[in-house]
Amino acid sequence: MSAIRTGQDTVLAAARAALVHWMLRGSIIAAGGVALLVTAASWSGPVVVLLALGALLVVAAAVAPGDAAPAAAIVVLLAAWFAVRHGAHTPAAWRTAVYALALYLLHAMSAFAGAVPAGADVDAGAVVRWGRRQIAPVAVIPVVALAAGGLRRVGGSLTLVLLGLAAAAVLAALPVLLLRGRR
Amino acid sequence: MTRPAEHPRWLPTQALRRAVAVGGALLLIAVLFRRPDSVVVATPVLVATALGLLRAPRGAVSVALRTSASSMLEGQLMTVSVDVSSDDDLDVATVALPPARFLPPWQARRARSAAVAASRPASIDLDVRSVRWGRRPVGPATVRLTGADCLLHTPVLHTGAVSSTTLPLRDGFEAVDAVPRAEGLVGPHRSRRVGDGTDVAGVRPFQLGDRLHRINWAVSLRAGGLHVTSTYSDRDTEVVIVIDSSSDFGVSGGIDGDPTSLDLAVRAAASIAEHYLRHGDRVGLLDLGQAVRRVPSGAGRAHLVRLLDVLLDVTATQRSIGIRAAIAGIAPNALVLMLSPLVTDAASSRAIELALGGHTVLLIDTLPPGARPPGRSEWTDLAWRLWLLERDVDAGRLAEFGIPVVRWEGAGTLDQVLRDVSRAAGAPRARR
Repeated sequence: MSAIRTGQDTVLAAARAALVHWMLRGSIIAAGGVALLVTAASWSGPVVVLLALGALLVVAAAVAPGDAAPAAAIVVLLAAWFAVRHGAHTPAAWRTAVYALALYLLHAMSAFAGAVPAGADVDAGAVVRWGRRQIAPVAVIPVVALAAGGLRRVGGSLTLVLLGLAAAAVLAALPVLLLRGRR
Repeated sequence: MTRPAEHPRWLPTQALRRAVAVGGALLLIAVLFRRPDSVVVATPVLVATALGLLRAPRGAVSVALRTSASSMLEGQLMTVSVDVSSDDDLDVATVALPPARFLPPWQARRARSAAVAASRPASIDLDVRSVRWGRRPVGPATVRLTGADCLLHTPVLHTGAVSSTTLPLRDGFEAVDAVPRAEGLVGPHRSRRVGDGTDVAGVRPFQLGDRLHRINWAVSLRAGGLHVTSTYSDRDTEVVIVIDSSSDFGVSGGIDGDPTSLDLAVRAAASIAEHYLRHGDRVGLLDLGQAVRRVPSGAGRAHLVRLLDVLLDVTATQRSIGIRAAIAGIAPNALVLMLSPLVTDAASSRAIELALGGHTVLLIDTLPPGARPPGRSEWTDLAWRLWLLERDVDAGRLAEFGIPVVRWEGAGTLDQVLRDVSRAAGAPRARR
């Protein structure tokens, strides 16, 4: 005969599972909200449209994190960032760091939330383990932000542009090479 | 059930595509438009992607499904565990069970996700609740694995399935001690004859042959002559349960919903069998739909398991192979309890056949209370009422053959009718 289990534990587990899902989705919205706030220094016409669209897409990313919504939200948020910050000055280091952190968390939270179905009971150990993995990428942000903040606008050197392009191509190709290498 | 370890195909998730596209685009923007802030935004995404892909799973993965028990009672919970083992760390393993009508997930939790550590199998549990008797498979469960910091995932993997049995919930059933005809000389029932036993029949004067320990000294002293306490002898009986499975009336809602006629019959049969076996009687079972699997009368706990095993396979079927031979095998003094919704004439005919064969037959009506056919026209209700009237007439005709018809209502259902039948069996009868 099977063991009769009291329903109390199961009900508590169900409540805890719902809480995990709400927290994950809430974090996506919070990260997107922070990115919007940091971006919104000016409220000119086209920027407001982008920010409004970004807000809608952030909510869509929270609802369907496994779909293309997070990518669309990130693209619109980046567009808003560059539209607002396309001035003569480089943004403040802290502002850039907070923006980068928010955008990264939006990406990472969506990745994890997309891996667990909406109705699934998520083991707390999985969330903690995944959270630990995010320490290294997050720790890099202030270092790079400080380094970037120290830089002045680079002059129009063709050599530097070409070198930068090559470095960008290598960095962007790195994940693809790693992915191909493991096959 | 374990599937052999395999090397699953790992596919990029939306997150990986997003990271590569956004990271690459940001670096290009940084270089082309001289924007160091773009590098700051791209760096964590690309660093996380590179670290994740360095941790990409390469080894074998195996998934296996098992259950906490192979059999349970209706309404009980069963834990379905899926053991996931992998040579690499996995971020998320999501296990889901397919929808099953009579095995719904408890609290609607159909899926569960957990992390899997390398070379340490993780057991992911899901609770299901069986709501109807019978045999049915559990699984196959689907498993979706995600690794490399949620950048890679496998296609859906399937575990094997395991079979489970749900025993019919045994209603609390108690019947009076009376049995129409005793089969053995010893047993738990009080017979109508005076003899060695435990139930006091009265006090009478001492006769030659009375045992000395039966002398009632108190009465003897008062009366001035020897008196003994007489008792009824104990007898046992044989009960044969006959299930009419020629039709199943209604749509089963499981233990929480409306029962069908077969639900009622199977649950009643289990309760009756358990009651009589607990009291030391011998119980047999004949399912008219599978007469070749007739269970001869027997006693004891093991026999109850055997009866329940046959009850699990009761389905609505109209097979008549071997019924005549099976009925002929019923002991003449057996108490025959026939469970039927009295939907077809065949059940009445069988009951009359048994009664004419000299058996004591009780027909237990298993038509579900409040049963009603699906409405097809405005005449459905009227037709249904007419059919019920005809059915009552048929039940009355059965009574003329000495077959009482009683509706199944759980505990005490058979008390009055058993008393009446016992009284009738004790009455003097003329031999033809």
